[in-house]
Amino acid sequence: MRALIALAAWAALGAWAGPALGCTVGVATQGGLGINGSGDTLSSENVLSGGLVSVLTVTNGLFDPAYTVFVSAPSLVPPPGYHGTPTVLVAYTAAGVGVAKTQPMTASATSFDAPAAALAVVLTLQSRIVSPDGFASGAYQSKVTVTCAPQ
Amino acid sequence: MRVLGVVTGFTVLAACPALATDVTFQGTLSGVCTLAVPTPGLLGLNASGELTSEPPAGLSAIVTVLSIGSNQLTIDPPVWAAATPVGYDATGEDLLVSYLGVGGLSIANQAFTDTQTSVNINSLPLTALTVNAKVTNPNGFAAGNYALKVVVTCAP
Repeated sequence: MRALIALAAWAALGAWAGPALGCTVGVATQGGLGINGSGDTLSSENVLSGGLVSVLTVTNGLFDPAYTVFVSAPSLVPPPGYHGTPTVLVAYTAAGVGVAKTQPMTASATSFDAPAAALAVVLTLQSRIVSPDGFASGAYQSKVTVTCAPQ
Repeated sequence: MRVLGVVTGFTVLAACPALATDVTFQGTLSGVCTLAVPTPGLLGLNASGELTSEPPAGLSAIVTVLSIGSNQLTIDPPVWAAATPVGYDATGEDLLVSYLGVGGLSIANQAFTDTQTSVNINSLPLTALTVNAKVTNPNGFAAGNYALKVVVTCAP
């Protein structure tokens, strides 16, 4: 009985205080890729042809420590007929209490720190694929993974 | 009771939010080919008495091609785009076209011809095709304005 009460209390505390592991990464909205007029760049920046940013929120519990947000290097899943040599890039802005990060387009993994007071950091991500040889028809998907970890 | 305690703990652990999420961007391209003529050509009389767009007598036309997927580029021989000047004798005239591509269009390289030609192309970013038109006529050319038209078609 004592063990059950302890577990129930722990569960209740966990539910009230938020995730015991600190920061969490929310679900991202689906981004879009559109082609530019020169036919050599697919990007979320090309809004006239279907480009769309992706937005997600990283949250931190009231009593959780400062944390670091990691954005992986971008990857590309091209259609079967594509044999180009693309450069896959990602850029983002991050905004929250004590956080004002602007990451220009990069092909590398990046990260930034957020203070404990940054209870919510909004990331707005852009994706760009540059293919000097153009693009085959079909579906293209670029992807990055966003993670966070307490400091 | 012990069993109930274990189940409760498992439920809480499973409810912990994820620390990582994938961000995806998607786009689908359909097969398409677009053409534009940013630089129309100009005709002039060369030293051999031919009416041509080849420099220095004239100015070559530039056609830009953007291809997504496999397409066929077809270039027709020139036709008169307007009535020729009064006094022009068309007997024996020959209307010719040539073209030269660069980059991914370098396979498109055609010497002057008076027949329709085609080139199969794959995906290309915006790429220039230089097109020249020429008219030879043993009767020469009367004074006046001449205009030629070359039809370029791109289709799957």
